[in-house]
Amino acid sequence: MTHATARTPEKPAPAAAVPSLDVRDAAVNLGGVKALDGVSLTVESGRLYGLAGPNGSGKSTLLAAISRLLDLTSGSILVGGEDIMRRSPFQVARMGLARTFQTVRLMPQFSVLENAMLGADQSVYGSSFLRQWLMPWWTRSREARVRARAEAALERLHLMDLRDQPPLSLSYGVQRKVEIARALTAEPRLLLLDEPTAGMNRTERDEIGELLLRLRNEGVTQVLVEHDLKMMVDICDHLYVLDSGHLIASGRPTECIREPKVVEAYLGRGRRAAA
Amino acid sequence: MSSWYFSHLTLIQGMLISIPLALSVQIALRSGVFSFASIGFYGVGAYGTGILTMRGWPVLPAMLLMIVASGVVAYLMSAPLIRLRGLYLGMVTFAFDLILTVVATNGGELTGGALGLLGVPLGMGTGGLLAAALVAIVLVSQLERRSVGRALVGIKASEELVMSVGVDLKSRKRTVFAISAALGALSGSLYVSTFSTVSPTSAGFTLIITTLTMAVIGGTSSWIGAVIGTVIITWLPTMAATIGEYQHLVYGVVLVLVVMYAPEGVLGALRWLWRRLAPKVRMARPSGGAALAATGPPGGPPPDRGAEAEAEPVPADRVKG
Ligand SMILES: Nc1ncnc2c1ncn2[C@@H]1O[C@H](COP(=O)(O)OP(=O)(O)OP(=O)(O)O)[C@@H](O)[C@H]1O
Ligand SMILES: [Mg+2]
Repeated sequence: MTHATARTPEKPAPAAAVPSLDVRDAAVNLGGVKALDGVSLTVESGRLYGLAGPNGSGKSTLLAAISRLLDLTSGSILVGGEDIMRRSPFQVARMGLARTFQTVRLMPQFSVLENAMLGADQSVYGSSFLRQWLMPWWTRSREARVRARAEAALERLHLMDLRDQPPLSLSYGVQRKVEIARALTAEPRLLLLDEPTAGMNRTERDEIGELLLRLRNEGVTQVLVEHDLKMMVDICDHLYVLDSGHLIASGRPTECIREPKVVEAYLGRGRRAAA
Repeated sequence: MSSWYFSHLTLIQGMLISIPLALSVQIALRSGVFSFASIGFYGVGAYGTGILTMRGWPVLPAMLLMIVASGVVAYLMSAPLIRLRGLYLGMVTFAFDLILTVVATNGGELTGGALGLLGVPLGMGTGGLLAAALVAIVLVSQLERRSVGRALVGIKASEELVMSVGVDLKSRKRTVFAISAALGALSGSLYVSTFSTVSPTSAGFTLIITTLTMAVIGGTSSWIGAVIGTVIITWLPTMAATIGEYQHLVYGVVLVLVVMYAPEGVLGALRWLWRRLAPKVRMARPSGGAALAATGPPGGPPPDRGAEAEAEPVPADRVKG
């Protein structure tokens, strides 16, 4: 992978390609709060998108809606040209969507490796209790494949030394990496990352930034939510900015963050960008 | 030895019969399905098998029919039920159990009214009970391993997580519900063909409390917990003869204490102890390290979670459920 991490800034999306993700006039009401209000945006495949906005602006809500963990009040979302409004979260996942959560979700009883393995289980195993009971040799071979994928993902995050550790014994930043590894194990086409570097130091952040760029160059479409605007500017192809459930800016990251509306959203109300 | 065996035969048999029932509650709780329905299906299995064998059916086909029928009915019932959250599901399935006892009481000739069925043909020896308990253990323990195991444990960690990695949560929960019911029916069938009688009270409120205590006291994270809990609850009354009268009161108190102070049950406590002690044992006996390296060497197979209480190489903070 020579120069794998170098960004090709103006790489055009393939002509007439169906966007990976198409959000149309999405609205979500949460207990009287308009967490999202008339948000429309598109995500071209193979690119890295940033989703910025101050606290409570609706970023996590949008990711939840895209992964179908939350219903839209109105509007629609298309993944790969297909309307997913009637799909279950697991069906969207099987379409190639993976995500991480803002609050780390790891299984405390399982090791780091096993947590990562969860990401690949469905695509490699399918889901059958009967096979588990009647075909141990089959599950054994699948298990080996899942483990190989999980180890590859852990390798990319430099977590192999910790593979047998219980996740709760690890620092918060490392737990976040495990969370990312689990998503990578799914080998997704569309990856949603909700503040993947929260709680990490500068070096770790740069490491993750590099990784996301590499993934982008491998063709993984990504939507990255981050409070670290510097990182967003450094690595994203395109930035969307939300404020109070509205999309207030969209464009090249460097230009986007200078727009008065964006500056006001971040600074006007005394909210600092740095996490 | 053999005189001990014969004088404790009822307890031994009762324990073996309880194992599938405790597992039925454990597998449901472990998968985030807070359901007591399997106790109702215990009654269904007991009455069904009793009625059939009293009409001349051989035991095994009668049992199999009741187990399969319970599983199928439970699967069909589960569609609306699994939408209920936590406690609500618990309450509805609790009501389901009590309704079944009312049905049994008012079933006339067929169910023998308040007295229940008497003189059901005996069809189970201790060997048969042991075999049935072992089959139940093997089936349930397999569901704690590999992909299926991760998905089921994941449900308890976070339903959103499990859905987001592509697990069809609804179908998983429905299947667990059905398996739980089938295990309950198995236990009931074993009971009636061992003790030749069943009455409406035998699948009632006290059975719910006893079984829940078995599952929770041992620890719901693994089948081992259910087995430990069953052993404890079976033998406890004989050890402390005085609690006899207040048995269910004691169970209630123990249940509350365990839930509050040791949510992982006896199994959790053992694991915790093991994590503290294992490194010391290993240091004292370096040659024993191989046997103790349950977490496996790098590149080796991962440990079978649930197959045994395993050692963590580094003392971890106590893991909270
Ligand atoms: N479960 C809920 N019930 C009611 N309101 C909610 C709920 N979850 C979020 N909200 C509200 O919805 C709005 C958007 O929240 P969201 O979590 O999407 O913001 P965010 O941009 O991810 O913020 P942060 O940067 O803090 O993660 C906020 O006003 C929040 O208070
Ligand atoms: Mg958020």
